[in-house]
Amino acid sequence: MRRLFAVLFLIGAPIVASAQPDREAQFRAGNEAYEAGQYQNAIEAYRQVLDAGYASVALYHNLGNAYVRSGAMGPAIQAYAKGLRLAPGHRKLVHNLQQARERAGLSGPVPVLRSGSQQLADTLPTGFLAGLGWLAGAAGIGLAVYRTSSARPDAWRHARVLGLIAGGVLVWGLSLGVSSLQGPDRHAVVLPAEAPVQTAPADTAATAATVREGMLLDVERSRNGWTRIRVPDGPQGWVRTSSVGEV
Amino acid sequence: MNTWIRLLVVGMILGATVAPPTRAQSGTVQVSAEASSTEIGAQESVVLIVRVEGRQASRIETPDPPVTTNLVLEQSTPTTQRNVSINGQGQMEQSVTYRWLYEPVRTGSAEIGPVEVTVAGSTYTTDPIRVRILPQAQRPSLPSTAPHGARPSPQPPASRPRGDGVDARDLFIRAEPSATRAFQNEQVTIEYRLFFRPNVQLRRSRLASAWDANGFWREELDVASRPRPRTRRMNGRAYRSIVLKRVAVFPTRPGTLRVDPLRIETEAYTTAPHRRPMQRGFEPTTIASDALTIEARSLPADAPPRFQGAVGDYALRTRLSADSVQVGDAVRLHVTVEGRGNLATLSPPAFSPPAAFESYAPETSTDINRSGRVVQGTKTFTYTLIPQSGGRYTLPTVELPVFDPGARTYETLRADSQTLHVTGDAAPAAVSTTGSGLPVGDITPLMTESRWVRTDAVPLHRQTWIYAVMLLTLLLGAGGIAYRREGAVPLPFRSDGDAASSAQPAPAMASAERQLGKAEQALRNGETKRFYREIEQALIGFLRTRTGTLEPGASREAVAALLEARPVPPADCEALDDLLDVCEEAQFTPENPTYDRAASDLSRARQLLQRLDGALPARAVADHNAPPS
Repeated sequence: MRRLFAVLFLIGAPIVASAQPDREAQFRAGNEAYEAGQYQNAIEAYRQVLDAGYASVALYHNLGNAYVRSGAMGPAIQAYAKGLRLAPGHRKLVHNLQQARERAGLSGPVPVLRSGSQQLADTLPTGFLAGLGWLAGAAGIGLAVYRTSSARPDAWRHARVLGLIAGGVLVWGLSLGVSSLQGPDRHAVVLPAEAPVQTAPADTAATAATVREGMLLDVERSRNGWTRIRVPDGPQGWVRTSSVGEV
Repeated sequence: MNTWIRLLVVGMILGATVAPPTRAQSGTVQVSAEASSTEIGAQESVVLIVRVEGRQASRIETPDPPVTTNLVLEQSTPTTQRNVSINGQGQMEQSVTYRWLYEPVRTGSAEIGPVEVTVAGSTYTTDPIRVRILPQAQRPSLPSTAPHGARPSPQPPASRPRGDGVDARDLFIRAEPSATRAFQNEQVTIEYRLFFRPNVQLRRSRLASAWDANGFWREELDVASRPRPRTRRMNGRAYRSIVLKRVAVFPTRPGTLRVDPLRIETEAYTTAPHRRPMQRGFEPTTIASDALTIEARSLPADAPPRFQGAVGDYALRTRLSADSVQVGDAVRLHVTVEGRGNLATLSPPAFSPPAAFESYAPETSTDINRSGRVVQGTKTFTYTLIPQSGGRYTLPTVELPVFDPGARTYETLRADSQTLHVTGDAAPAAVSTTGSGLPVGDITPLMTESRWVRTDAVPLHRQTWIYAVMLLTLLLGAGGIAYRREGAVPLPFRSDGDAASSAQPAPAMASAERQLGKAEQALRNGETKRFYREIEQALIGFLRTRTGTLEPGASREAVAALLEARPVPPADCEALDDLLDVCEEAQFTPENPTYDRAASDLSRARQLLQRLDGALPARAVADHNAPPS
């Protein structure tokens, strides 16, 4: 077993060591560009980290700040909202999101992006729960096999054995349920200053309404470059997918 | 020639005079303030006109806009108009007119406060003006478009007598707009030109009524104070022509907008041969241009972000007051917009300095050149920046989205970015924060510590292996249970020795113990025969299970032979034999033994089993179970 760990360490350590500095360096480069007032460069650097498949609360926070300094409130609101997905209620993100909304001319409090159960689910480690459930279930099954023999063919029906198996499967199933709750919401933020809401997915369709930068929309579905949305307490319609950013 | 100069300078004094002016007069200087209307709709605007007249009117300090209630100022910089004229006594007089545009806040009463004007060191104060703001529904709608007003006629008016003896074809005013269709906030210039035949002379001219252009932002353009009439031919007739007024108008809303005719009253004299001799001499007459209508169109919908309504032909440049400063020292960034367009209403371009800079709202200065045929000039926004930490900073590029009406497209003007060296240590922070440490009115500083998560990870519930692992575990468990129930084989992790020493002896002794328990229960119930039968079965069952060779129903001889072949002490063999005799006797004789006797036999059986358990160890049994060689 020790040999196995040693081999895994020797294989994995270089991979971890090579990936970590890249994103850290990009993140720091973004921060330095921001401090120098080069906000577009900062945005580019932060975006590269995201494109590499990594994210963090700080990354979304700083990306939102760079957008605010650039005057692009829609993308800023999207970045802050995504950060809140990782850390629900994060006070800096909530504060900055409110600031960006005010600068975009949007009034009212910060809308609730995630329900209470979703926010709770976001905090739970699904991998750990799944492993714990599997271990408990496997222990119960092993105990059942151990107790069973031709002399005692029904020994596996013991209450403690069955309880261990059932508990393990329950925790395992709970981890999968939590994982599905953690999935992306069907919300989107308007990115340009204004975007028309068409009654059909075509430029020639009638305009049902106009949505403003930073507004939060409920997303229903997308197809062929168009996204069907619903304005909260407002009309439904289609907007160009490029005009909205999912959070 | 003096007649034309008088006509020109008097005609140039324009402006609505609906509200009675309030005046402040001292010596040769007269200051008056008036509102374009004292009763307006909630969606209309009111113009405050402050006029300074007198010989010393050239030494005026531009007044500040007055304090208002229920009115909001559209632009702090007033539009200014200067006029020079020569009165009937041959003395030169000057007048300067300032105009501010106000929008109402809500219906009700509003007030424009006193205006203080300093002329040649003396201060003059006008009276406040009250304005009544009515709901828009109670206001008359805009005048409809006059059919003839859409475009100036290229022909002179039809021949008609004015009643004063001067033919309309000999004396008229033409309004010549640069365009009759324009985008919102696009510049349109209107030139009012007086045409007269060489045999016509005028004197004592003055503006007959208010000239207005509702729905437009207006900027007066300069015209020559001593114009030289030019000869122009129209419809085969020779005319002399001078420019009376030139104004740039900017539509403030889309729609069909009307420009009032320019109307003057004058005294005309003609030497035309058709006039009767008694009509010779100057006679009063009124001349007016046609009204104009201009079709104002909305700007295209694809405006870039941060577009604030700038329309025109502009250039953008920036300049820093210094390229190197100390921490805490102020540096000024001058952002200059230059070109043709409505500079007065131009909003400052978006500029966000680096976070290391403290910045203030820009100061604005406007320099409008009115000498040409269009309004042009520069507008400079000066941002004051105070660096809070040292370093080399590249200020972000200043951008100004504008609409070019000529190309009918939007474009974003960009100025070169400026680099600034800041030396010295960081200044002590003086940031206003909330109780929880968050900045007031601004975003929080950068975060530097990051805990990374994968964004491209497939959610757990969408991974197949998680289901496969659990299913495989359940299947293996079910298979293991089934296998154990059928085969009763030693567990794979146990050796044969372990199986012999711990698996087999335990069931043999335990089974015997259970059997003795049943015997004890029978004794308590008074079932003596069953009691001894259970004891007998406990002893024989123990030997059969432990040795594995004794057949069910084996005879006493077989038991004795088995014990002889094992290392069982002879005393135990005798005790077993004796106890089995007691059991047989008790089961088959009619009289029952006493309870004490039976209890004593039960105790003997337990002790004997303990000894046999020690005398017949499982390993020894396994060895003896080996087939004979």
